[in-house]
Amino acid sequence: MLLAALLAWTLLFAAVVALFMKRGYGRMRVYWLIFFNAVFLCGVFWFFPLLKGFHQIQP
Amino acid sequence: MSRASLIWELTKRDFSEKFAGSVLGFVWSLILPIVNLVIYMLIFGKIMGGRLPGKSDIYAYGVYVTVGLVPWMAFVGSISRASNIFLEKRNLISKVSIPLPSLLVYVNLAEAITFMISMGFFFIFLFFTHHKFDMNMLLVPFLFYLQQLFAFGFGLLAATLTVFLRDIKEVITLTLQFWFWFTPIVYVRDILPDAVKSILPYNPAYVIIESYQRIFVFGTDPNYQALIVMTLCTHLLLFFSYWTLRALEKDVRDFL
Repeated sequence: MLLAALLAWTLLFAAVVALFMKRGYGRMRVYWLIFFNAVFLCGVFWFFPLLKGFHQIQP
Repeated sequence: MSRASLIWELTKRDFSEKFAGSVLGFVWSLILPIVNLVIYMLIFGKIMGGRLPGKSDIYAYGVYVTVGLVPWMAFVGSISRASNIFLEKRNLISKVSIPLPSLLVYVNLAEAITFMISMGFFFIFLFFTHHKFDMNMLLVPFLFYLQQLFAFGFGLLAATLTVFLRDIKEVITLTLQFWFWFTPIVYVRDILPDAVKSILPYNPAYVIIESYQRIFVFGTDPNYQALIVMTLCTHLLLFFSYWTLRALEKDVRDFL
């Protein structure tokens, strides 16, 4: 489940980035990408221990 | 040629140039990580008898050194090569309309491939020595991504400034030397004086390397709070580096 959650989160991030790149947004695009990237990585380090804890209490 | 294919072409060329003229060619990029792994495990662990406090496993110190040195090599390689990349590729920059950060992407990608080859062999070694595999190991790609992002941000700033002041490259080489010995990679944190220990969490390389060490050697969770702070700092650095490049890009191209 943990692996699936990490993969899903990564795919969601990749999809957002791909969509964003396709639509353009000019010069600000890179700054937005940096922002999305920060949210993605913070999400990984924030949710990983929570999901791991949840995974460990499963029978 | 699209930007992605240009980056991939540059990465492939980087590998082929590295082993140009040798008989074995690309095979060397597989041999070198194996030799390094053998040195870390056999020389440090078995012959020199290096041991970690509280660990009886003969390979524990070798694993400790490997999970410190392999990411460190990628980190240092990315920064040191990036700091000179605009000068090194000035002919390409003047001939082809290429976004300058793309050049750093290929340097990072080349280092990432070397890292993956080394870690691949390392995982094979762990499997055959019956090392305990842990769920925390799933974090390794994200840790590596974070460290390379930091190296990218640092390298981008250095590359921009090196165009105007060439001495920065030498300063970075020296800084990386000090940085290596200020980060517990080949020694354990406990031997450091308390004053140094108290400032270690402000060392970004320590936050990353310690996370690898906790996962592979001690079987504990990395310090998630420190990793989140490091993520925020890394993205601030990326933001600042990119902003600096945008502000100076015209001058950078003129200087080159």
